[in-house]
Amino acid sequence: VSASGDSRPRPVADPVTAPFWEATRRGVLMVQTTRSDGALHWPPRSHAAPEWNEQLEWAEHSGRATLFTYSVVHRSPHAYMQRPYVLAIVELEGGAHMVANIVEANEAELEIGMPLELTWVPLDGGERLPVFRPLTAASCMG
Amino acid sequence: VTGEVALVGAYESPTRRAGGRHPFEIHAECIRGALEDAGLSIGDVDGFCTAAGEAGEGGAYSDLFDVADYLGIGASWFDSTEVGGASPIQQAAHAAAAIAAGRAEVVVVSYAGCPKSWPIEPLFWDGLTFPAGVGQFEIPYGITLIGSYAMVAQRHMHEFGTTSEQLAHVSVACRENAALNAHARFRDPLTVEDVLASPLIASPLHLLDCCPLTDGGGAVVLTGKQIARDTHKRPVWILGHGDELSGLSLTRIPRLMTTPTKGAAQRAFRMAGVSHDAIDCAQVYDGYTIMVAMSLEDLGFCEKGEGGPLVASGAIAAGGSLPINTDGGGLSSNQPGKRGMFNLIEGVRQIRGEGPGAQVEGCKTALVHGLGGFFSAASVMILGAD
Repeated sequence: VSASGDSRPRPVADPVTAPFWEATRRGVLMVQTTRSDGALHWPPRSHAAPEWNEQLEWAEHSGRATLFTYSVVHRSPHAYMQRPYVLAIVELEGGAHMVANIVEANEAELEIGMPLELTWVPLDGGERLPVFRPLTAASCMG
Repeated sequence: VTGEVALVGAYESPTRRAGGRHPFEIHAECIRGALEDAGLSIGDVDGFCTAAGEAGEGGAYSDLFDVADYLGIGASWFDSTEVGGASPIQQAAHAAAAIAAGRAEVVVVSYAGCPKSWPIEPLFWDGLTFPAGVGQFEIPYGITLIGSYAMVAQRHMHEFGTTSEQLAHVSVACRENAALNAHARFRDPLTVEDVLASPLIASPLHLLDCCPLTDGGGAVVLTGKQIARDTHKRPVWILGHGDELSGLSLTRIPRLMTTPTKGAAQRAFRMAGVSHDAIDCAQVYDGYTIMVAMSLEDLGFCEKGEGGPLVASGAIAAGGSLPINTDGGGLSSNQPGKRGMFNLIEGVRQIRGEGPGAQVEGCKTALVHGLGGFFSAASVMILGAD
């Protein structure tokens, strides 16, 4: 169990996804992109779905996102989640959708479309899980 | 297939709590019941379909072998398509194609699940439960099936103004039908206020927006028109069918909330050559109330985004313009996991005038709908009277 009290399942990385998880150790969010249009692709794959006509390359992401949708989960079979928690889909700056949690937020302030910023939850193996929190005025100026 | 293949036997076990019975025993009960209904015997059967590898279904990786072994069934044509709740409908469609092609004469499609009393997990992991593959980017966030559909509901509300009150009408309509069905799991009166007052499981979905799990099973028998003429009851014809495959990851939810039901329905209506006005009742997959509102949009019964007002309008209730889930649906009658089987059986019963819940008077054409996974696969079948 990590310092935060989380013992979330440690991801089983594979050759395609390993660069993503390795970068999380350094606090860097890596997302695949296609060279021609700069489009983001998530989750990591061996090829650029759905067209299959381009190579994917890794790019560092700003960690800025907006809230696409969410649910406050009150009942869950996952013992590693402290309830209630906010399950979300965020839209990363640049377009791709990512499943995530929203942390450091009151339910009342959650609003679809709200700006978010990246933060991390430590995992047992030293990797970190990207999660998001409301973008504050202070972090905007920073 | 259209007009060539019929459903000639249908049986739903009255079981809702199996009390430790093995699901394979319920398969046997259902197959016997469906064959008796058709006036056929086990010796007439040369095709068999089932999927039994999910929790509570008793099988494992080799689920078709497991069930066939227990039942002592051999077959020269068989199918174990596993697409969750859509599986039985899609298997029936495969069987119809096989019969039309002369590959099989009499096919049984069977299903049983006891997730309440026989909740043994199968011996494999999938992407929804294991942090590998796509799961490594979803499971660590505490993803749940209800949470996933809840996020869809939240987005639908944002995009189209759908309300929890509108969605609650789905549960209420199903309960009114279940009240008439002696075997339905829940039959007590239910109001919109009751749904809204029930605990939030994953906002905005309440406990009574979600279908409860039951133990149960069912089977249908399909055959071609030659044999169908000699069966006990008037055949119920398969007029059209369509499927569509998507994926499992939540990141696939499109901005405009279109689901695979849309493509499946377009194919089914095109093949059947009937209009939406001809549909006398629809058995719509109802794992969660939001599923019904969105599926009615994608089935083509209203515009995208109008599912909320449609379900709240009274149209879906018995006596409305489009009665749905006339047996009480998964929300109030029966849902061990692959509800598609009961939607199919209820479609047959409605056309025969044998509905155990709310029977639609003079029902000639019925639509049945299955969904599997997380809007991952959809199957739509249109049935017609003899």
